[in-house]
Amino acid sequence: MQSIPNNVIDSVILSCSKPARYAGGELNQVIKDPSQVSVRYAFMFPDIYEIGMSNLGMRILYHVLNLREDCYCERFFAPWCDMEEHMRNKDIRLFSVETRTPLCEFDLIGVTLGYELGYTNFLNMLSLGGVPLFARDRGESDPIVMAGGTCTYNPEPFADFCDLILIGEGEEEICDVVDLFREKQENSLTKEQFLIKAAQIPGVYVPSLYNAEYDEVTGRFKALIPTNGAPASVVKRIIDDFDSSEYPTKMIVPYMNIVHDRIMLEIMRGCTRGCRFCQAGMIYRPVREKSPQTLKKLANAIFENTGYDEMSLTSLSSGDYSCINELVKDLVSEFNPKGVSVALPSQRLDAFKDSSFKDELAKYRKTGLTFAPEAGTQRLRDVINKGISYDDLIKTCEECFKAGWDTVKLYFMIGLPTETREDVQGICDMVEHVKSIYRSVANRYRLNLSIGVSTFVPKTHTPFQWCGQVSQEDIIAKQDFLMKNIRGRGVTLNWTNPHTSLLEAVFARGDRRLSQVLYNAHKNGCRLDAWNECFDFSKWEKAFEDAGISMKFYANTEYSVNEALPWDHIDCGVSKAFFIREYEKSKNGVLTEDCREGCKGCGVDRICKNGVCTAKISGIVK
Amino acid sequence: MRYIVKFQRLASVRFISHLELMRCLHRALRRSGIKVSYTEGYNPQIRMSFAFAMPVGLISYGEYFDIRLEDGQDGMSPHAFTEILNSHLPDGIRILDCVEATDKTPHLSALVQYAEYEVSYKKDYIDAVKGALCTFMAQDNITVSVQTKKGFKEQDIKRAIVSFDIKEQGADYITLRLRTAMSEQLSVKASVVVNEFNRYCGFTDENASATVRTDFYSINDSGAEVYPLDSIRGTL
Repeated sequence: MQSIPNNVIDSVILSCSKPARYAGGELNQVIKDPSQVSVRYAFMFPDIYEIGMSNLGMRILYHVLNLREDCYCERFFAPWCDMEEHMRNKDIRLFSVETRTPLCEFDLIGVTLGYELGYTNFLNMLSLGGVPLFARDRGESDPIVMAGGTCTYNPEPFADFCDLILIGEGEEEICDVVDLFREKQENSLTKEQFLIKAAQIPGVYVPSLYNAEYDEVTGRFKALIPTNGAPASVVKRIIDDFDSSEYPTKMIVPYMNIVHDRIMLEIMRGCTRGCRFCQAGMIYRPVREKSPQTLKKLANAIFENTGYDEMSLTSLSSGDYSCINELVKDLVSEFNPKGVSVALPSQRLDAFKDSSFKDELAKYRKTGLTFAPEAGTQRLRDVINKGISYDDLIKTCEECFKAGWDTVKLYFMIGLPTETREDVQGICDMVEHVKSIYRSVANRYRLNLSIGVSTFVPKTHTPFQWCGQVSQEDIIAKQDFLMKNIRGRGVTLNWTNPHTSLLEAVFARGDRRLSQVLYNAHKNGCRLDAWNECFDFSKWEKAFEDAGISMKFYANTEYSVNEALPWDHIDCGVSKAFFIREYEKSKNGVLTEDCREGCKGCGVDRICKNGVCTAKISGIVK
Repeated sequence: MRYIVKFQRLASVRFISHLELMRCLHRALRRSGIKVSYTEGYNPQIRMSFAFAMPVGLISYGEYFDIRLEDGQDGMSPHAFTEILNSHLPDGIRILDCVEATDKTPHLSALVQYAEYEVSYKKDYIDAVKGALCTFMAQDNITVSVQTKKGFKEQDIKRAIVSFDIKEQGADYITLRLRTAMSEQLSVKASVVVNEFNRYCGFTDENASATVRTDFYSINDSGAEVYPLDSIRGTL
């Protein structure tokens, strides 16, 4: 029990900025009697409330776990700096939103890691919650700590802090783990016995059962040796029947303004485009769609339970959904009269311009349109396999501006493999062209053109996983160039901090030795690193120095395709052979078509039911 | 149709800001299916306005908003409106009363000229409170440093206090009633008065008292005090 009385916590909350972050009491939150459940599950999101509540994965798992009568899942978010200071001064343990129970009193802690800079928040929250950080320091009475989310596709940097790591889609996997935990409770298994059994659950990786080996001379990763019957490679879990999988309809409606404050309808998982830099497109294969009937039912139920005024059809590339035009038309005609607008996230330029749904979206309370050309020249777009043409961009912008849209966001990246000065110049040229199209097509000047330029971070399980990130000097020079050349009325340029990109690159392709760095960084006070006001690079530099590790070793190193990689033991479905083929093709700018036009042999059929790709069965892939 | 609505906001929702409260009500209205009137233009908003922005942390039994519904909804009486909306509101927010306004009904701000609060103290503070209250109010002026947008400003808060006296006393509690002016020219936050009184009594614990707003009122032409919805009913 929290030893601090409720009214003291109340006044602490009131003295902080945005008290609604800590208050709870939201519509549709789940309240259970803790004494009536067998398993208390703490769902930890390693960032503040506004960011965490926008995370769809958390909503789905919260719903799935609370459906179980034997389990009560409560939420934990990172406290903002002012709240953290109060907590440390007044000895208030990190508490759940629902019942204010301290973190250390839960049976299971599940953290979702979707961003490398969230790792220090994860550690900070464990520390504030009274839970020992390293897995080896936790005993029989401490909670079991598990991690999920996209960062588990290279879990090694944070593996030493976790008892279990869940790879792949969690809806069913998490229930298997909770079932095993019930077995542990009923048969009084020790933690070690539980972990050995857990390693046999498909998709579960138990880091303590593997020993890492490094080359004595070069310091490079050599191998990860499994023990106690743990599998040599852990295959990700996928939901076979995506259409009927559990999806929350009673979504929590936060009081405060969160990032994605709308009905989120997940229409599809996976992507067939095969852009070579994109990890999400690879790890979420095979492509699976929800049927329009299911989606309409869900949309109605969610609206009735929430009353939101905006609905978003989310997926990696919503324009590719098989019947997107009809779906949008139906949803618009049903929901616009109720005061609800329909929106799609970032669109592929080639899908958008030929769609009829853009006219539908324009009818009611237009928000803005987002596209991601990613590279400034055709040559570089072909290298990264983002096969959209210059024509696509021009025609699409033309149609958008004619239809009355004034707010357009374009995303680009710098630091892509084989990038030259011409490619960066190409970004500026594209922006100028878009501006001139607006002036010629629109009879008004209300242009709100936002250009977002991020720095390429090579990610695991992509054809570019062997590439090193470009140097800091290179990044800064290119950002300077863009700053000088992208300007004008209504044009804003946003770019990412080179230091954060560097850290992302280190952890994205790091190994277990980085856990010491994370620990040092936490001790130095690093947390909320995704926020400018909190990020302090000098603390990170010191953390690396004290651990005797070089950032460049991880960020800028190019691997050979014959080398063992620290993440080889995680099987994302797509085969290494496919990644190597794609890597070779990229060097010559050879395109690989969308697999909807014909299977490209990525290998994900190996892990599908009966060895046949789910997308082929549903007819999405020929 | 134009309705003036009285609602309460209790402890479970006190941490949200005024803007968040508004959006919460908007969503509840959408869930309820009640046909509310929207503004025209590119960004339609619900036609709803509040008399005052509710401060974060305040519990209140008497807050008001003004809302326009689409015409021609037979059966959407004030009573029906209250029942239906209440069934869609989250814990802690509840509609208490509702009246249909006419063209003669003034703007909401005219109906809420004064505010009324209850300030409660526990057993240990009873004697000190009773002893200090009269002398506190007997002062010619009570000057306090009040934070404004431009910094700190000295304000004589006594001018805005209508009355501050004992409402009720039990064996282990005492409740005071505070009434303040709430017009554009003259107003004061209850928290400012209470904090200053607590300081005057020498209380150091920030949880010494608990303040809730009980209602608003105005003075009618005959000089009598009337609560907002009663005032409207009186003029019908």
